[in-house]
Amino acid sequence: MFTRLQYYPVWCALLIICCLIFSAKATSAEQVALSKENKIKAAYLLNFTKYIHWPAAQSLVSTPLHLCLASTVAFYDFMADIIARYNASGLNRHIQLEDVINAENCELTYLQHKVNPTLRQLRHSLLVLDSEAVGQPHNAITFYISHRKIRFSINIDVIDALNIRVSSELLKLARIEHNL
Amino acid sequence: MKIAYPIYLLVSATSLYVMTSSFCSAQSTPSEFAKLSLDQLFELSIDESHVEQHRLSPWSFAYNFKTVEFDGYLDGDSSLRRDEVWWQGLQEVRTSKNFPIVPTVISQQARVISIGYQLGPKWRAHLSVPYLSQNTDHISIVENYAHFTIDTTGLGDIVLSASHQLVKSAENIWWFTAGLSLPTGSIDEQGDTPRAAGDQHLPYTMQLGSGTYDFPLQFSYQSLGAHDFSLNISAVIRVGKNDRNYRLGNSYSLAGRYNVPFGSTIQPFIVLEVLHRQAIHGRDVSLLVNAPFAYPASITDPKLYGGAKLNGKLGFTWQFTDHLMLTAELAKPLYQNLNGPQPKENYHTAFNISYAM
Repeated sequence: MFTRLQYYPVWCALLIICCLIFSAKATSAEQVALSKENKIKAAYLLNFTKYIHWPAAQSLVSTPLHLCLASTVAFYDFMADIIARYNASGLNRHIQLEDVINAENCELTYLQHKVNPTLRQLRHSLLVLDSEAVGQPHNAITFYISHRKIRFSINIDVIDALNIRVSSELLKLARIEHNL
Repeated sequence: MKIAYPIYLLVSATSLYVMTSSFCSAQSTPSEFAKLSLDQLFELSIDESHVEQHRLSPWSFAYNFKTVEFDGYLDGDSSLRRDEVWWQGLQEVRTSKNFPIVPTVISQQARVISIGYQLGPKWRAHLSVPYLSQNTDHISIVENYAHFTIDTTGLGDIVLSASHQLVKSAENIWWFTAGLSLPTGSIDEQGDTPRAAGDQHLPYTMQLGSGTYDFPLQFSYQSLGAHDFSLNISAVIRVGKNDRNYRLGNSYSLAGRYNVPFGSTIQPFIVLEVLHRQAIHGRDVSLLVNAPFAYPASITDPKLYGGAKLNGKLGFTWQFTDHLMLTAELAKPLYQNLNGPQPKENYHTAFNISYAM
């Protein structure tokens, strides 16, 4: 005769399996929304704003820094969440996130796909490309993958032409490139 | 008591869910990514399956188990038969290269516990505590000692070291490590040898430490370019003499390691290592016998130590979580040129499990 007590190990095992399945499903749902690769790139973009100094007129702490994106909706939403938390501290220069097409002015622009290079808002913008495959001209920073990790190159000639100062901390992690 | 089961079940399930969900979703939320520094992003893998968590503690721990076995003899790079090294009595000519007592198989094991502490982004400190076990089988012409074994076990030399990151770029990382090896291992080990009745002082190989303050140094280069390889140049510099009037020889090595592209968690590697070790300076007179040939065994002659080796190693690392990593390797000398006659190394193995908090 089985008593109710003898079923507890069975119920316990079932509950554990359910928990594992549920947590795994929740995790995979998050991952489908945005890959880890893109999350890391978003975090890099935020860090770039700390190590890049725009010309004095554009870098007043009281004025927001315009970060423009040409990206998927999932990336835009994730970036917006990161920036909301960053801005909430109130200690940093405020970052304003915008879609590149609708923006009037972009200091930093991240492109996952090519856009019209003659857009007025890109004229003095520092362009960060998702990868070389985007093929946008005048890019200053380009992400690439090496040994399953995100790396980036910096084109010094483009940076100089934009009259932008990049911290040595950022430069030493980058693969340095020049225009041919 | 029956009420306790559902409560236990509920608490267990809740804990399990919290544990698994926090484990799986490590660094997946915007707030977690917003806090990451450039250096932390630089280390992150893009693999979804690679679980990485923000290190909350600067501490790391490792357990290393190493074995090495010596069998056979070399003089230079020429193999010697056992009967060429073993002087079996007056019917043979005694020379400085044959001996009445011959170690046949030498086995050594080291269990090393290491503690690491991240002092800053560019500085690390380490403490390594070894526990050694070694045994040597012998044959001899001495009555009642035709076959005998000597064992020693105990604490080895504790090493304190500090590593400094010299360069870190998108292409490579350079580290420099300097340390101090403390003479905590015994150099007074005794055992029953044919030299006399009872216990006598044991030869250099059977001692547990160097008896001197030694200085391990290392330069490390790791390429982050298209090919994942690293180079290590290291040395152990020994100074002065110990209480028994000798010091072990300095050692120098150059090792190149290539990580074979395989997967995100398991990483096979191959290593080529060139090693040069000097002979022992000075001598321990308690190992000598009062006879025309003062050294009763090759391992009691300080000149018959050291030489050069080329080692080939195969192994893998398995990073099964961001915190835990297992490394296993098997090494075989591909070429040895020893100050002989000297026992030759057959192989050595290493197994390491490390935990970064």
